[in-house]
Amino acid sequence: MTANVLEINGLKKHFGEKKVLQGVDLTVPEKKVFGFVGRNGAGKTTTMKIILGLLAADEGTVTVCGEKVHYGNTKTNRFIGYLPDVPEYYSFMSPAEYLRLCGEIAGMNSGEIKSRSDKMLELVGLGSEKRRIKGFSRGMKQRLGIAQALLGRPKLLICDEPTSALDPMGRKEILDVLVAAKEETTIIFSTHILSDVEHICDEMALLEGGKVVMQGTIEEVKQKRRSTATELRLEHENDTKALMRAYTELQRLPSGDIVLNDPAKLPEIMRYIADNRMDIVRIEKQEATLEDIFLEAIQKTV
Amino acid sequence: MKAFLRKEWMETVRTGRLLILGIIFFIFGLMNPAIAKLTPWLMETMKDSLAESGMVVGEVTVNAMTSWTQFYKNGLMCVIVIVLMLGGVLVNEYMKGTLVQVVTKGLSRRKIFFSKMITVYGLWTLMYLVYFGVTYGYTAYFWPEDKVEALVFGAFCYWLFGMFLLAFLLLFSAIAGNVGQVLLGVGAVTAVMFFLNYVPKLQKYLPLRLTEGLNLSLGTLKTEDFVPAVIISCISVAACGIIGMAVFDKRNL
Repeated sequence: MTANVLEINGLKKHFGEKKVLQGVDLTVPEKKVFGFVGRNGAGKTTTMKIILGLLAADEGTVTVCGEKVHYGNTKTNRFIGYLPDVPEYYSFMSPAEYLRLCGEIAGMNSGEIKSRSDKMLELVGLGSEKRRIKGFSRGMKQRLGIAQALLGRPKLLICDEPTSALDPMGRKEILDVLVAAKEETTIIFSTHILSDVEHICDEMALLEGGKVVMQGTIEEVKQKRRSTATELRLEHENDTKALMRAYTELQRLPSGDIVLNDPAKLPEIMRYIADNRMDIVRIEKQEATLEDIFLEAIQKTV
Repeated sequence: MKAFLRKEWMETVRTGRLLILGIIFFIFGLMNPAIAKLTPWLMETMKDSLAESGMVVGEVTVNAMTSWTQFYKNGLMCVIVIVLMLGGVLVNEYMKGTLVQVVTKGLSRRKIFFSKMITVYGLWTLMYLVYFGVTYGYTAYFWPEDKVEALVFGAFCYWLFGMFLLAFLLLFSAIAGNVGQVLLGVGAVTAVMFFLNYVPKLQKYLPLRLTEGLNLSLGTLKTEDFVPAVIISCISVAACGIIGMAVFDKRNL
């Protein structure tokens, strides 16, 4: 049985009147790249900060590698590497000096810091960079962020929207580094860029309305929609309207297509179409993208 | 904590803070004997123009005491400079978000706050030693025969006054969200002290008394007149440290 690196149960958090998290339940198994998806303001960063002990939860528990997280000075951070959405560094240091600081704080010995920081800087393509961080681009800062996060061989790497502010080239570089890092750690990757999730994640959870509304492997999540949705188009507008009147559960897309989400109804609808001699232009099972699923889940909770 | 302290030192050196403060405090220290030494010449130069205004300039005598009088006068400027230069020592880290990564790497917030205390107090002590040392050296060079009473205790009191204000700077740094709020807080504490100083009965208890080391050298105040202010300042420094640490422990980074 695979152990869970992270378990979140009934997590609640509010800021003033705004309830950001309303009972988040989440489990992240070992050695996976886990996509934590949600629109901006859904509570992804809040959840991550609670996992890191940087924010106090109102209710609920978070355990990392079996140990409970406490707000303030949590010891569970020894298991975690963290890459904030906009990582900030001491700009007067060089990358190697910064990693040395991080390694010493984490309690690593000097030999280990040297070998590990050389390896990590090589991994993120900053091995030959001797300049101070002050002159770094955003992409370089993100890559250095990954190097510092992976320095202490964390069991869990938390990346908060690491690609959202980068150009396509920078995004690709970061995703490549994360794929390489997957070999040695579990990664939680928060984002609202769904193509990134499809590209590198094994599992995902969708956070909406302060709750996790969907969780599973990428295929499982897609399968849920794939097995249920059918799109069809009729030749004549009058037929389309008549069918919509007869079956109110059908949905009409802006393109004019009709969507049927309940597969059990399909034979009956097909009989109705045949009995009324309606002409079908197109009928197909919908190939759901994560974007469709994301939008559908959001619509359901609004 | 050693690693974070080394980072603090590196920051002090590489951002030019050490050099700037060193130059300013050296110049301030030099100004005290220099002004004293140049006063007779200045008065002589201005003698004629002052005479036209009806002012008669007699013979001006300067000595080591003149230099140390300047030392106490310029002391407040030194405190203002150090407060302005170190106002962002902690707040700038929240604003940039640089502490998030060191905290998530496992450095305790108390160690961070303690490192900042060592940096702030250490830098003030070092700079004050430069200020005192330069004044002392040049004063002894120009007026080797002159002896000034209670010099070390008077200088210690002024150093403690700086520590008192810096303790509040650290406390407000744990509470405030930007440099302006920190400076406003320190300014408010100073203003309250000046206000309370109008009440004669309170004067000996106020840390403002610590700036009156000159009166100690002149003999108008005695060492024991400073004791309540020294005790209150020490308690304030300790209290600000403890409260600041407790607040910093719980604040969002």
